[in-house]
Amino acid sequence: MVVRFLARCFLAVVVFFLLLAAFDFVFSKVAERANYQPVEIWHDVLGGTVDADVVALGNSLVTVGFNTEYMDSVLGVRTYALGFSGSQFDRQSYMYSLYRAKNRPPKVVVNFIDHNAMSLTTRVPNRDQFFPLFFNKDFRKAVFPVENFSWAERYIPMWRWHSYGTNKFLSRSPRHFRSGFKYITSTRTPFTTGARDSMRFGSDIEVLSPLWDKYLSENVKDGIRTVFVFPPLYKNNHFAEGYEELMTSTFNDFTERYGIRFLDYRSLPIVEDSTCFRDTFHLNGKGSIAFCDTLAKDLRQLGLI
Amino acid sequence: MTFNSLIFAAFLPIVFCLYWFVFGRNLRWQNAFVVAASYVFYGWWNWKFLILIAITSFCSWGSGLLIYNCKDDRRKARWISAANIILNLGILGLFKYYDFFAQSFADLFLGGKTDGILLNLILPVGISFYTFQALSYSIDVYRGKIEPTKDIVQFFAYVSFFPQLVAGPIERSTNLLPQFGRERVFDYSQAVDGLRQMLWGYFKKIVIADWCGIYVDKVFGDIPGQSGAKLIAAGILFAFQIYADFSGYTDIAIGTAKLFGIKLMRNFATPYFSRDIAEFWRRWHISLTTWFRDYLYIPMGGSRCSKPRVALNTMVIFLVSGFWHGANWTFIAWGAFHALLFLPLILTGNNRKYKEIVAPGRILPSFKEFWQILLTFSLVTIGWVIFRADSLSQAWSFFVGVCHWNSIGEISVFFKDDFLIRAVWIAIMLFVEWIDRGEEHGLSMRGVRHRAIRYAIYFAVILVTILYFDDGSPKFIYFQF
Repeated sequence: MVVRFLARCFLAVVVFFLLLAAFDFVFSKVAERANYQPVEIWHDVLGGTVDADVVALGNSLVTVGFNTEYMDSVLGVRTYALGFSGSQFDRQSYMYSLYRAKNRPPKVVVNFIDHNAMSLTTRVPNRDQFFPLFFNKDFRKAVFPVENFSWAERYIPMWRWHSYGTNKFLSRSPRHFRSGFKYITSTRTPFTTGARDSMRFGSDIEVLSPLWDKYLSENVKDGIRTVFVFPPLYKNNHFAEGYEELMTSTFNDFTERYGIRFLDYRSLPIVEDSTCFRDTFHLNGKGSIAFCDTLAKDLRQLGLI
Repeated sequence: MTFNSLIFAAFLPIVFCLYWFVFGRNLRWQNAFVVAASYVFYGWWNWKFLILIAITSFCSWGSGLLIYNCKDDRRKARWISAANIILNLGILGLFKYYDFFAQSFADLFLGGKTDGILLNLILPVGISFYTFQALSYSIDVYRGKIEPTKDIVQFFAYVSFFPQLVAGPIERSTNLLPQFGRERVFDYSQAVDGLRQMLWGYFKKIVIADWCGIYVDKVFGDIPGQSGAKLIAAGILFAFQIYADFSGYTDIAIGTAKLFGIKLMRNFATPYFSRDIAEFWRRWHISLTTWFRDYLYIPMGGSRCSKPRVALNTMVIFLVSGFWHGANWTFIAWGAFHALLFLPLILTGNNRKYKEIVAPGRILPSFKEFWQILLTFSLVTIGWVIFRADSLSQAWSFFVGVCHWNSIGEISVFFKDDFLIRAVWIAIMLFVEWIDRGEEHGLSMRGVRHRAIRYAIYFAVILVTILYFDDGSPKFIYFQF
């Protein structure tokens, strides 16, 4: 009797597992096409649907700071914000290589430089951006080495979705991140000093340097012009304190070697204005327009557009 | 270890297989295994407190034997029984109530200075439950309702049986102890029903209780900053949170026990379909209510005495019941509130008016029944606000806040996603429990004959439960009691 019970339980588990797997697949495909911004970018990149002349590469600072609608209208070219939320340069460069493999090459890459450019990705926040594309081989390669998915999340269908409001993936709301966060004007620092220490600024530069070299030399070879941009951070952001010199010297070295321009916006007037920021890192809607206005003028002045 | 953890998902199948396949042929070994598994289950949280369970178990077992040996000397038996009660309640009092009394004493006589008089002890999980269970045994032996067991392993299994160790149901020696004294035979249909009951318990805990808890905690964390409508919404959601949390735990416990061939007593019988407060108390936390009835209320004279005495007995029983939940004035006030609701019914002889389930054989309740249910639920919800508040002053500010409505527009709170989605899940839970209100649990599936439909329902419940599961899922509310 017990054996029969266990056998029936096993059978039920197998049936439920298969049903859950099928449901997971369908749900992921639906969510992949959602208007949830981080997912949307992966979908665009892997789907090969981006047709942009200017690509801004970076992390969430690109997502919220590089206002594509505004840049399109001001520059008269197609722009794309290729922001990998929460990532460091190793993952950004991988995303960029996927972008290059599947989409038309851009003419200009606006490369956002910040503290993330100086370290390797250990763990990516906003994990839900990865969920819909779980079945995509390229995507898994990009994410699995750095994102510590538990065995349950990897092997139990639907498990990874638990406790993440699934409705945002199914929502038909507008692309809410694309033109910057709205209505939020907080000046808090979203990360703790513990998080900063765990990022080990500069200590991975020996591993990262070849990545930077490869990325920049390939751009040069393919005739893609790169420009480094240090985005504005709110004045009381001391996250990278103590490493700024190292960052500047490292990137000055790249600019000299590859003939790249370095646009530093750390002292723009808006860094004093708390109403331009969502937090001390991220610009809001108002801030992104102010920043992009200056950036567009500079890009024109440099003859990049 | 808690039922809503992944480790329990591994623990249960292992214990199940060992229980039936390895230890199934020898009752004594099987009971010893139950004790070992239960101690691992409890010790996963804090192994040091296993000593307390062992002391409670040993003293109650020993006192049972001593009382039985002195059955011709009632005076001596009474002293032994009293000593066991004092010892067990002493341990409970030390860990659970000492600081409360010390603090109250300091507030009254020392101007609030508590230097050196508070112990700040960690409250052992489930201490109120297993203490009462152990006490019921020695009292039953003293009363001659049950013969004591000489088998210490059997008794230890009775006190520590892991499904009901930390939050009940508070079992009686007359029901559970004999089950550990006879060979268990695996009952296929009972085990399948156990799994269904567990699934329903998980649904209630994870989808209803935990999710309502997020809303409730937010509102109770900032009562002055909330609108009247939001406070009402939080009050309603807490009523369902505590029901889904506790009855969910009970369903998992009873369902788990069924897998091991053990039948635990029913603890909840759709209490929110009660037509008056008396019926509510016959359907809510039945194991505790009947414990107080049998071991406190009836010995005090129960309702077979003068009306003032009945009123006093009722008041005492509710105050003690409130105090059992925790060392806080809010619990005492909650008990007093329910006593005041109960008194008119018992004094007019209307407390046993509704013994059967509501609307038997009908799909819907009558208009009168509907309003009775709604009124009873509203009164119970007022009580839950007192129960949930951190202090009496917080409860008071909640009720004051409820009366303050800035505009009729505040009613939109009830149509916003964060309330509405929770309300939909609650409505589904109530619908299922209404359909199965005569059954032991909501997912009994008695009326569903087609296997495909049954499996579709199981799948839907599993899917929703997975989606709502949170790694940081809060512990069951009643663990703290």
